[in-house]
Amino acid sequence: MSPTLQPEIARAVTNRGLKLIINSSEQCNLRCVYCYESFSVGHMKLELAKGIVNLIRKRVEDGLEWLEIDFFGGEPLGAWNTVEYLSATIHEICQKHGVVFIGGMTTNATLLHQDRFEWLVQNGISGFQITLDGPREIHDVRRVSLHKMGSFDVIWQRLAMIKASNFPGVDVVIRVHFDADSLPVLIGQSGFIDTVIETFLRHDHRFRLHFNPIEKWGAGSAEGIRYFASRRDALAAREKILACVSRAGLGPNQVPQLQKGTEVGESGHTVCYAARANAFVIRADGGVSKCTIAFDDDRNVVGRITSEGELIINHEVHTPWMRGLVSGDASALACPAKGHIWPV
Amino acid sequence: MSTRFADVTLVASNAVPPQTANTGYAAREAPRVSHGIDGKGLSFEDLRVDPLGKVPSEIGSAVVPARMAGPNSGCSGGDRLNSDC
Repeated sequence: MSPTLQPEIARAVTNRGLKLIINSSEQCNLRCVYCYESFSVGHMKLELAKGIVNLIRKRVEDGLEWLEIDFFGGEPLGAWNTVEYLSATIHEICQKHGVVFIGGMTTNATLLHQDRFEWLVQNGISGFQITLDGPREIHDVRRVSLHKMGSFDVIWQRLAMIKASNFPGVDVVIRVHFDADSLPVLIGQSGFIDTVIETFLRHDHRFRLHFNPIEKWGAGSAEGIRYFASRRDALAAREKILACVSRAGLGPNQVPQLQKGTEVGESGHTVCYAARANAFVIRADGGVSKCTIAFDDDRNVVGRITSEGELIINHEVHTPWMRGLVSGDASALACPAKGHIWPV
Repeated sequence: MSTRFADVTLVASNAVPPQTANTGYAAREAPRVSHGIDGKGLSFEDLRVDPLGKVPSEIGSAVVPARMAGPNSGCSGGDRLNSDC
């Protein structure tokens, strides 16, 4: 095992920390053409949310030192009442007991009104991952509403709203999806990425960038997407984007993917949450999973949570996800779904 | 207190910098690791979580993780692209 992996593994197995990814809603107001989710589960019910609080309360009383909460979905803000209840209650418990609370949300931002944003930050949910697919003409044919309306303008407005806020502790990852067609528009002279940098990132370290090629993730029609022919092509394309970002003067502090040859673990996903012993996805229906992609695969249903706040775990299903912790294999740590659910 | 972990010994720490408490920002201090004890690695039994999601005995580090990127919507499969998913 690489010595550089050891600290990451240590964080992944300690009882002193806990990470819960909470799908407050598995419905979504968008229908991105490449989305892999089936939207077969609705909003999380209050009884289940109380079960999560009960689990956290028990762990805090048992000496928990840090708690990571990430709201996910579907669109997590589609169940605002649930997000509000969980955030306020968990934040209060952590404050009362001196537990470090790291709260975040992966959201399409369309429902992130200013009053909600400010309330979330004040209640410890200060990390936001928000995705753009390029300029309006590209984004709006890929990230569409149920009624096929584009979402670029409202997402851009939400980012501008965050930019204009004066919360120093906010941490926004702008995730940019790209394919073979959008690449030239992103990196061309005065391209979209330059616009994003000058609008949001320049002199504002609350904003970061992350780039992901669109791949064949699942259920969506993928209409209008031109996939890269190979992983190598996708990687080469991302290198072009990163070169563009680098020329613009940004560093790894705002674009972690620029880190090369640095210690393993700095990028944040050297040990995926799915590979950790102390991280769980709580589905909107109470199921417990490990991976946030393979929601429809039974191998990703490792148990369920009760309203009393207990995790009923099927260990036979759970252990394959953690095999990297035992073997030290870097690939199984970075993506335990690979070689388990997906081909290597 | 020290606890066995894989081929290293991790020295447990209660140190959470006060300025990080409840701010949403976490310490970037590296876990304190001292190498070499018995060379024995983890087993699946070591990772068998109880109804509170805890492993049977403390085998990790107390250091708080830095904020990571959020869960992945459209993960490319870990290191398939040679880095984060």
